Amino acid sequence: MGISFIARLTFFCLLATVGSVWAQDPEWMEHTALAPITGPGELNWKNQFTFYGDNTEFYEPFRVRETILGQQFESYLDGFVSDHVDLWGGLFVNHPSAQEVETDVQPILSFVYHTDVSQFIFGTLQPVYRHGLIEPMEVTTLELTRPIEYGMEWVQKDHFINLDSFLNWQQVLTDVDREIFDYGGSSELPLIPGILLEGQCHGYHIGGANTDGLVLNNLATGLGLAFKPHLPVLGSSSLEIFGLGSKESNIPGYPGPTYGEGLYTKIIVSPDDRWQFFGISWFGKNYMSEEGDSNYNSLGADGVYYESNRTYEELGLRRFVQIENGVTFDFELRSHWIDAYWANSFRLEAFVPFDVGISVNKKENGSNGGT
Amino acid sequence: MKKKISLFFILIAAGCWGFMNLALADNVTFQNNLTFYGDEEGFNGPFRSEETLFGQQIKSSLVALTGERTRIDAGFFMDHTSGWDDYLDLKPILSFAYFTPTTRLIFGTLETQDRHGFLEPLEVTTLEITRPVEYGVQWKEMDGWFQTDSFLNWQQLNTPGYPEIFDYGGTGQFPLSGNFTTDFQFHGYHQGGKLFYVGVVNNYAFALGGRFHEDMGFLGPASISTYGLLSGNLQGPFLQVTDAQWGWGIYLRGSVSPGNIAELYGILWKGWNFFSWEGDANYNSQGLDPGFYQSDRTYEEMGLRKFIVGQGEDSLDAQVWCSWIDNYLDFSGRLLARISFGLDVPVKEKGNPNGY
Repeated sequence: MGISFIARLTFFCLLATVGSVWAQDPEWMEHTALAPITGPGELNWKNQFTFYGDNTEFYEPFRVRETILGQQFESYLDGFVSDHVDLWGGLFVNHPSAQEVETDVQPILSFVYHTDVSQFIFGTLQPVYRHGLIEPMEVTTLELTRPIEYGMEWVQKDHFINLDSFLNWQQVLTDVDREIFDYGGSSELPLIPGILLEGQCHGYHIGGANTDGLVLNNLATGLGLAFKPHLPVLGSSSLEIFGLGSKESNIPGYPGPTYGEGLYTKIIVSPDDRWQFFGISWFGKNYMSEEGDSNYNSLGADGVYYESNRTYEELGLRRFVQIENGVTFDFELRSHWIDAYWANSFRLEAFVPFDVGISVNKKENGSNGGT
Repeated sequence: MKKKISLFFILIAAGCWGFMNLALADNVTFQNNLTFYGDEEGFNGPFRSEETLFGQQIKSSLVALTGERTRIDAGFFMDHTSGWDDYLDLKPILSFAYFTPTTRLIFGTLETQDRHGFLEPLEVTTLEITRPVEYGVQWKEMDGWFQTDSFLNWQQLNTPGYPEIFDYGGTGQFPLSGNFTTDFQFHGYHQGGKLFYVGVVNNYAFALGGRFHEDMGFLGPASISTYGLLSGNLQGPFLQVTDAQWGWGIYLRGSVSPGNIAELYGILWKGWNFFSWEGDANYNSQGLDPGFYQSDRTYEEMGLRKFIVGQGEDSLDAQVWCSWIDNYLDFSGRLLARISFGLDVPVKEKGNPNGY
């Protein structure tokens, strides 16, 4: 049953991809963003402060309540190397709000190959909205807890496809640690004006061949349609419907079957393009994504509780305020119905970016002919 | 510890260097606040023990206006307790503020002057010295008809073996006339967390009252304030001793300043099963020893305070007081010197033909 569902999903995905090759009028995918690149002969110093607070009040079997509060600072130099190559170098700092905590410092070091419509990043990734993955694939708190990643990313944004695909290496294999990485991406193919075909995939792996430890493979895929009509009355309202499939393998004692599936629907109503009212509906059967919002999973937070058939609904309100000079404030209130349980959550974020242009004079050749 | 300090300085160096070149900032100030403190609490009763605090603190940060309504503050705070072997406490300062002429919304490092305006039974005065830096969110309003300082202060993250700890609440004042103000206060304290379950504490304390002040000729500026307080200790370790979850108290404070030389003040307190986790323990019914509990409580305090204001925010605060904790008599004193200075940082916007 599970295998045939995945097979049907893959086949449909292939058909839809081929059929949309000649699709017209692209709708830019909100989640996919090409990072701004420095012009020829320039050095751009990019900085951003982020102040975040996220509180979820879950008292149910699938997800436990959690509060994330702190400040982040990102600072790196974007240097022009050639017409198609840039280098990023700097650091990322995270300070969780508490009296006795260690400040987390991570390097930013990336090789960026870019054209007008695509970007290949090797090194430090700066994912935008979790690479565009929906909540059952990657939980939204990863935007706060994992704002930078390390690996490879390909972002394509042209008239045919909007794509954000990546490989994120989380842990290197050592004598005591297993290797951990996740991979996948999201894509949008404009079919006709206002209608897009969407495909998503997320894989998570724990393993490593040189020890006899745990090997875990989790894969979640999704295919959907998005309706973004841009009608005068509805503003930037939209409707997304996804069919999802999951495969969980190699977990000793896993209480459910290997394959699972689900139906995800999200409606966004934003008549004035400022206030955003959204609703999510989910029907799942044995669905499991290791990095997804566990409210969508069939496996409970304790790793033992299991419920094959799942329902989840969410209603929310969001406002993204552009204050001044690029300073923005984002707040979100949500109400959740997890089967028979009800919970509320909210998020606050303030972003303060500032870029500084630095004049770089290339050193002329000396008498020894060196550069 | 070394790792923590080195990481910390990377943060500060990067943040400060960034501000020195902040292209968006119209105005950057290098703000420094130094505090020299000495505090001796000479208590030997069952509710609070003797404590001496002695040291120096510095808060140094770059304050940059990022527009007409937003501001960012980045730097560090350092506390050195006087002593040869005591360690140096370093904390980052990183806050974002949205402000109007009467409102301030703060995200990150909070403003903690005068413990947000709390009475002693809600927050003990030594927190001004032991916790001058708090992290969370804050709303400060300074309207003519309403003033508030409301906050959420996150103290500890929920990790294996440790509960999450935070306190929250605020104070609000409604001036009814030129010399009479009504005052509402609320303070909550929580320990818990579901990620790693280690037990739950929930404590609440409310106060409602008013303050009247008047210039009384040779007695100088005088004031009298009275409050009714309520506490709820709904979950926590002390409930094994008593089943009194709710308590209350009456707080009276009067002061005169003869000849404007110094403030002479007195506090009267009568409490019944009152308990505030972060309040001055001399007002609580729960003793230091978890097994000691006294339902009916009295506390009196009489003190003399001299507050000298210098240029800007510079001040010298000297205070001595004696306390009657039920039948115990104790003496305490405090000396606080605060010096503040700001330096304008010249920021030149770089001429850039590409618009960066």
